[in-house]
Amino acid sequence: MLVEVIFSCSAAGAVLGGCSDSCSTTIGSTEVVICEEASTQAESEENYRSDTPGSVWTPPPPWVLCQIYVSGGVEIETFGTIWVKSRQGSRECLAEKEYIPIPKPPSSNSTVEKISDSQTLQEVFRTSPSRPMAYVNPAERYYDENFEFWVEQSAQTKSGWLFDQPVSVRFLPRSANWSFGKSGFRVGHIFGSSGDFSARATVEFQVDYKPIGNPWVVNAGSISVNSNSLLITALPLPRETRLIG
Amino acid sequence: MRWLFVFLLVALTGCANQPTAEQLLERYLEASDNGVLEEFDDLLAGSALQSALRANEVMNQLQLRQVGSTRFHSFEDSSDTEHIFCLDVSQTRLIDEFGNDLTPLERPEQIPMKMRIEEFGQSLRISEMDIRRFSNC
Repeated sequence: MLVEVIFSCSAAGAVLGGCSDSCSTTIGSTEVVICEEASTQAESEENYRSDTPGSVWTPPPPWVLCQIYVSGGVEIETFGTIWVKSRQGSRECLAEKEYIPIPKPPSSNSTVEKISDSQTLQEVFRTSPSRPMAYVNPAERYYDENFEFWVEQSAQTKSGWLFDQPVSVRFLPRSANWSFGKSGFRVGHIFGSSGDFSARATVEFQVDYKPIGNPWVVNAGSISVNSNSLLITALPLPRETRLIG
Repeated sequence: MRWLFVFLLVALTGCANQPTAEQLLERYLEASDNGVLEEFDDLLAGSALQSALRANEVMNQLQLRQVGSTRFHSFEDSSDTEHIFCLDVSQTRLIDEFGNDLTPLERPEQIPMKMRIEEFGQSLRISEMDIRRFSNC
């Protein structure tokens, strides 16, 4: 009996087997994960027994399951790994394991067997906006003077490959909120008292992404990222010497 | 001074009654394992409540009962209100009215989960519970 229930997860749902991962694009609080799924129909014609005298048959390398990073190879290390079916030695693998195909029952009339096997592969591309740099000028001055703060406001595009197809995520800075309560990518602030202060901006990025074979999905969500922390020294006012006559 | 003492006592009593996120999860799993749906209203809210009720409805429709306990491990606070953990259903089975074990063969037994806790009135409840995608347990 197959119990197929799709809902957001609960304890009883998990017991029913209804809590399973699905392949879709997720905009999390800190990162974007694009998941693509492909059904591979691997069909090969292989000559298992030749009745023709004189013909020389060299068997191809066997199929193996090859472990690679989700980036599609072994060069760019990513969070997860996947197993792909490939010919032994045809690509670099992190690890290899035996691939056991499900052959059709052998036919006595034919010398050619078709091995067909289908499997669903998932590849994910995960990315986050880079931390925007914040600046202050000057970092030290009298507390009753204005400090000028600004934070980078540049769009970021992160690209990757899923199933040899490009996918992209675009992060567009939309707003910036400073830890001292002001908003804007460039603000001025007077601390009003002396001391050492730290300040940083939280930049909210609009998330657009382009899945395989589809146009851009605009404003799919938003992600907020903190800038670097700035250390500011608000100096006490200089003592004035007054002559009282 | 006396009023300050009374205030502190009341505040401390209030804090002591408020369960931690982990305790809340324990109570929910216990209620779910035992099918005590009446307790769900005190423990769950929002989509977490809907999901839990719906799953139990499905179980009833299929005339299945759960035996064994759901557990969790690797509980961590990802923020003040969000928590991650691994749900372990390996000790549970689904039994039909004739005593047949109909536990799905392909069922994931260790599930990376996340939940959100929110305050409703005076009490904390689990308002969201979902699978933590692309994570492992």
